[in-house]
Amino acid sequence: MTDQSAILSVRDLTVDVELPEGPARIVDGVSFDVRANEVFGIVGESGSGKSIAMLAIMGLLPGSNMRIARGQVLFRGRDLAVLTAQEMRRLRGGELGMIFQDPMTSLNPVLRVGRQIGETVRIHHPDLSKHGVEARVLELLDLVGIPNPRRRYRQYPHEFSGGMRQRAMIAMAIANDPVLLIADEPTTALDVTIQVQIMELLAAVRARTGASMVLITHDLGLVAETADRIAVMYGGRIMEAASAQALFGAPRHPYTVGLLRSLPELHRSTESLYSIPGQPPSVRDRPSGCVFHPRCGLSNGRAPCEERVPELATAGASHHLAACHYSDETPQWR
Amino acid sequence: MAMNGATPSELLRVDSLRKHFRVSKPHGLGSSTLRAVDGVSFALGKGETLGLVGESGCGKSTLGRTIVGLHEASGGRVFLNGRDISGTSRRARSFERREMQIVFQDPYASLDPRMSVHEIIAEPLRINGMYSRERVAKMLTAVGLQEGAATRKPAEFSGGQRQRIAIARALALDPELVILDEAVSALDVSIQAQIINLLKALQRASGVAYLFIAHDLSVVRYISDRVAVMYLGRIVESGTRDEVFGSPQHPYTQALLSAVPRPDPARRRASTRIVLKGELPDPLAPPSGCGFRTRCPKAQAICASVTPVGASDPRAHAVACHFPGPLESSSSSSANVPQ
Repeated sequence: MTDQSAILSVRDLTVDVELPEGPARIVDGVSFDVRANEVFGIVGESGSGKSIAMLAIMGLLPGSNMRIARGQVLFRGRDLAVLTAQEMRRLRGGELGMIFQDPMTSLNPVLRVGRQIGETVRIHHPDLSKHGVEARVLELLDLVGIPNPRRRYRQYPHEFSGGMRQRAMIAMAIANDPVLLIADEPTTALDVTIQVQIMELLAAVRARTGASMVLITHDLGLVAETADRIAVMYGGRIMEAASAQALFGAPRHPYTVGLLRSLPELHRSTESLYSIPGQPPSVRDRPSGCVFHPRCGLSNGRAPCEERVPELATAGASHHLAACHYSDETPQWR
Repeated sequence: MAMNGATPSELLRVDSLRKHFRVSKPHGLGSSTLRAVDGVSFALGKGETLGLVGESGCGKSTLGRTIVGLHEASGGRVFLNGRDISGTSRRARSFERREMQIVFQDPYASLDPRMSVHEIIAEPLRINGMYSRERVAKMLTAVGLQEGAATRKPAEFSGGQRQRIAIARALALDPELVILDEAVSALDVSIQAQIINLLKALQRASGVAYLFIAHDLSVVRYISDRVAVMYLGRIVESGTRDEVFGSPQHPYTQALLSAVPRPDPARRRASTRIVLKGELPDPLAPPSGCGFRTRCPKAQAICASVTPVGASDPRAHAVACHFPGPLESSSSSSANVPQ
């Protein structure tokens, strides 16, 4: 099952959170591989566990109340669990570049942008002279399409627009030629005309460096147009994983089907829109068996859905996985 | 939803509406004027939905707030059922408030956390002497909440459920117009679909008209009868939803529609996307002439000197552009839709 060519290999990742009322499982047995040169999309609604899973992978779980309960993360064959905190820090900003939704929270507001990017450069190239670092930063600012890099170098993050801050963030993420970029909702705070610019920039950066990318998003349109393969998360688990074409063309999990049918279309006028009944579960009271069963139209109250957790197993084509007891019925039901 | 063909009778008319803000410059260097809404005109028929779209900073939310009287207009007029309500005092405006309600994006901020759901919905009814226990119960049912919800506080509900409460409160007085300001923007896809369908069902039942302010173009296409696109305080294009989405004529509308990612993996290989250069200009120092010219692929000298205006007929397909026209490539038109 382990893919030899994988840059990142995640197996059975499980994260527990300590709540006042007791422990709860926020990410539950997540496994996937990210291959060389590909974009792997993780799509899910809020509370699906997609961001927590990625924070766990990067060793950035917030607070002391969350911990990895079990699972393994291999980055280029290395087990990240055995790395020290310092080694993890060197990895992030080095081989592992990170881009978050809100650069305001990841950029230091009291440091000039040029200096912040320079720090990242310096950590990985301690032998570089002051001028060498500055030249590299100016080159990076130019590369990510920030006009007037010399002036921008001396400015603070608040003097940048949202789109420009995201460009600065990307400059920092690619400063040390990462082999993997992790982008968590990188354009969610931006307007669509700016989103297009940022996604084009990320594509150009990847074309240049050959870096793989994990794109975490709630936006089904964005993931369809960007990712090669996609995992759909719900209630802390992966519900379905397949190539972008297979996932959007022939989804096998009833949740994926419901999500796609809930999307209003841009390119034609429609008069009615499907909506999945009910509410997504909170981490406190996740349903037994299949977490989606109380909202599932295909289950229709069948006992196994309530009793047994479905394995993420082959459905239809060989690289198409779905965690559903009745995924063979989905094509007819859909 | 309004029927096709016959024009519904006019409910709201906005005529050259302006809302300018004085913004002080840093270091006490005087002040400048932010023209958030700069001469906007449109009409909305009874029972109709007008979608108002645009990116952040275009003035769409300020426009909505100015119409309901949360901001005082700097110029222009607002007519509701033919009455000029733009000059009326705050006190007199409360009468119109009964006919006009607004729902905001964030139901966490707009519902009083100390009140029970029953009290939240009952409050506007009490103020207007229309309260009855049955009426509150009826509203709860109408928005798909259980009767047991009445005694609970907003904090006990999810975002989607809170938005249902806010909608119940807004519709309790049976208003003729509800302004929905990014009312579904914060919701997840599966919940968003529920709320949009709820809004449509309530409209069918009550004949309420919506001014639906949003940045999500797909949602706007689904819910709207008519659509207006805003950029830097002005409407650049308006028409029926099929006119604006099916054959957009303004270069900004075309770029906006082309920028929206679609749930179709085949589309990425099509190199038809329009990528606008640059960002929104500083609204404190907007370009002369056409506000969009600094990013427009079609801009010529006249665009800097003469501000383009659209057709004056509020129900026409109006385009405020010196060089309107269909897209060169037909790939993003509604004609070739992959199933």
